[in-house]
Amino acid sequence: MLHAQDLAEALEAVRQPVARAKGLPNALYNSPDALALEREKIFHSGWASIGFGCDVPNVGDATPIDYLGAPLLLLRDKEGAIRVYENVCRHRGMILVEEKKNFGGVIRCPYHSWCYSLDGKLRATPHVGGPGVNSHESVDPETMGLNEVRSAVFMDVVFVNLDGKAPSFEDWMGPLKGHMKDFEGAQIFHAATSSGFSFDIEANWKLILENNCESYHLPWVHPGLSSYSRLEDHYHLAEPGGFSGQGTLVYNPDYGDAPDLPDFPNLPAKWDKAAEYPSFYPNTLFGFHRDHYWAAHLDPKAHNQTVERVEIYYASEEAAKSDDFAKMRTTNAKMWKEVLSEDLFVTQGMQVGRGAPGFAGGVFSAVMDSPTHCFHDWVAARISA
Amino acid sequence: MTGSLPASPPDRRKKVDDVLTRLHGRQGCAFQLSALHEEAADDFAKTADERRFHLTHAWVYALVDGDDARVISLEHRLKEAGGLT
Repeated sequence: MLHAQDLAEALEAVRQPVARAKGLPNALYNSPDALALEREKIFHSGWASIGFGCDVPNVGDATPIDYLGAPLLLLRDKEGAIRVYENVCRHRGMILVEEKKNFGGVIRCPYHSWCYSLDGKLRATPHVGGPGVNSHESVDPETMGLNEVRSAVFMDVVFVNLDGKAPSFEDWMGPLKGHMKDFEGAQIFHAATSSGFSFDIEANWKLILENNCESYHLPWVHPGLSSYSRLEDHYHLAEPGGFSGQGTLVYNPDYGDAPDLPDFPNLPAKWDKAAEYPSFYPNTLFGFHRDHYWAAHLDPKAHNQTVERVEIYYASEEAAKSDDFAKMRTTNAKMWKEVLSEDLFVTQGMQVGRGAPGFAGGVFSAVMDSPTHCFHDWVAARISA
Repeated sequence: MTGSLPASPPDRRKKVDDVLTRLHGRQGCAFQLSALHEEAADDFAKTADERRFHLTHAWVYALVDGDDARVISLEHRLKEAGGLT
């Protein structure tokens, strides 16, 4: 249960400088009310990811998405553009699409067969004026198309702003785009197989992002990774701007005898050894490397349950699809799945830990936890607004 | 398109009804449903209302099928029958 006064005081404590700030209070992790509050204050009023363009690779592909209780339809239209609609008929609110499928023609509501074209226009209203009479002045097709949701795509991740009132996506993502400008315009190629995986995690969505933000835990939780990427090889991404995370100075993948994967073209020399892992608030994680890129979408299913889905992309069609690179792709995906699965006991353990009444948000290391505090401060600001 | 159906009108109507019932709710049958409804409109409808009803269903399933030429043809027929403005 959230108590307004307690929450306001706790959020004020979060918003202090990192050295004396507290973390977000338990109630924002272990209360169903918290997710309802975050749905209003964070997810539906800002920009957040809902999936990937690779979910709808072909014209006419459509997939339904439950976005914290809002039924959405992710679709690729006849021009090949991504569109997101509310997945309901404008007539009686029936769900239009219940499972992923391809539409060669219109989308037909299974209830009264009102039909919508892929651009959202209301195309047919059978029997609306009586049997066999398919138009009526009470229903204007020009104003009764599907409700389109504001959407944007960044490196194949699909974002939406449900209430339509957030700043432009360009402004929202400006700081991260600016930070990652070396990858701007890079073509990315998704491998249809062996390039995606997901975890069902019994933890609040914030804990997964928080863990991804910081390198502090690496030597204790990822000993294999730390054998070549030491704690001191990492740096923070912790400037205010809607993202935070970590970077490494010793990215050096080892595919054994296999040839290296091709690099993204025209990257500055920094990326020969660097890799960066910005967590883009509220629910998207990125991994940028010279030879591959991944994104993870966090889908909050409940206050204590999250699906983390990862998709990996490469720098060329050949790297993504050809048999020559199949072994490297498999090795790469296996490596990331192992690394990210090593975090599960931590995120799930912290979720259980939020049940301790005496734990009041915890504290931060002013040296090691600034990326996490950046995120907590952002959440506190959004909820307080 | 429905050449495998029996030619005798009463049998044919029953067969069309049976096939329409069997295909109800199935995926990937839009063309067949459209064709069967158009056939019902042309050959079995006893009243103008009934004919318009079947043309409407033929049109909807043609839209689902994405057959633009067929959609245009059926819209023309529906307009003539007073089913579309």
